[in-house]
Amino acid sequence: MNKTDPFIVGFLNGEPDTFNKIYTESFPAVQRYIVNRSGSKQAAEDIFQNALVTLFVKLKNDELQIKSFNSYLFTICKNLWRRECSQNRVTNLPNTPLIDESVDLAKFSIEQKQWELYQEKFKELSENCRKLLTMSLKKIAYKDIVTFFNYASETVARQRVFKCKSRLTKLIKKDSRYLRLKP
Amino acid sequence: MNENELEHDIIERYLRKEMTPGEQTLFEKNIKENPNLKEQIALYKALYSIPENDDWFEFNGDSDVVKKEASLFRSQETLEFSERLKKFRNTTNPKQKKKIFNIQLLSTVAAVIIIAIFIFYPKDYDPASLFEQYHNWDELPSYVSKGDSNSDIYKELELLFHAKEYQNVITQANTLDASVYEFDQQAILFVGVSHLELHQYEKALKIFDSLLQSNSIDAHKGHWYKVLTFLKQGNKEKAIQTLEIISNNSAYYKHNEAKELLKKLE
Repeated sequence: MNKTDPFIVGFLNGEPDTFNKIYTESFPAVQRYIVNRSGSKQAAEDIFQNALVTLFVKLKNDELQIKSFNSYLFTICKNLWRRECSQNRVTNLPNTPLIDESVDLAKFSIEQKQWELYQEKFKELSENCRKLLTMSLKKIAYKDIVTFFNYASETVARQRVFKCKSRLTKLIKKDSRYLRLKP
Repeated sequence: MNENELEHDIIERYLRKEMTPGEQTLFEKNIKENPNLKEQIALYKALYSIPENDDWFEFNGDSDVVKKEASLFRSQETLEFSERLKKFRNTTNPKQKKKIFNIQLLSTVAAVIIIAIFIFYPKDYDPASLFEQYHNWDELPSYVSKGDSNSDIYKELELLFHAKEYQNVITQANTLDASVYEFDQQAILFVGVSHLELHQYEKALKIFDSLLQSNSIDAHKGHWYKVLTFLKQGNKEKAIQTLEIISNNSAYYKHNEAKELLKKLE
């Protein structure tokens, strides 16, 4: 799907029938996802609206090719919700003019682009590295990683994680889309 | 251990909160004085967002990049789009409408909208889109969180599954002891869904049927996964038939969703 797709054109033009289709087809799944993770219906609505605005800006300004509008929108909603949860923030978009949200949404938009870059580079790693890093990034204890991969010791496991992570960070940093982060 | 490896090890321990308070204070002092270390930590922290877990990261980098991006969100066209969206939300949200219209006018507007929708936009739910909406593989049961003594191979199935290496899930499952595997509802679901994701619908359906025929307490879940298979396959008729089974039994998995989905498909 690209900018010339009639559905995308309808979305970018803000046509009510396109909005209706999006809300009917995509919102229930997003609401279920958020409510199942202790969010409210109101939070789900705000996340959904923020995701649509973010998607509008991306489609207007980036060379974005998406396979499925619904799946991509769902991914953005999931990441917005993860962001909300990790920062323990309160979303209250309807009472807040967009102008006050612009910096926050801009930051998220940048984070989303970086996350997509990480995902892309992660897929370039070997199968073994992907498995090992998935366990490490899920914070599974090294003793369990040792058992799982049948390594000789935790030192060996740490060395392997180091090698895979170095490969990944090298791939990310080499890409022109990488932006330096500050903690 | 070389210098980079040592640094990696220290960062890992810091991010996993494995340092003693003394070590942590000293390390945080180092971070303040070393911009490269600071960046490396930020990137390592951001990598935790790769798998589907609760971690996310914050971009506090180059302020010019933020300013440039924020200008896109403040642009006239974005503001207009946002306004259209809010207007749409307000006209479709009953709570908002009550504030604006009286009941009589509300009923008239609602009736006109409903008639317009039926006349101009007859509902035609695409099974593939419904599949996108209703499938959620995060709901599949986890071995990792169970913390029991299940063999590692089952945990590996789950990891492969979440890494979307579906063919490997199937290959790995073939190495399992059939007598054990056939009674393991979790493994069956990972394998069935892997076939589904690889568009091997007949194989997926066969596996979900085997779950239905098993003695597992969750055997009825097989119906729901068959529905998802039919939706992805575009087989609306079969999806409806299976949804009717779920909606006729309130104890079945996803009973409410099945009723909701049935309305959309019929």
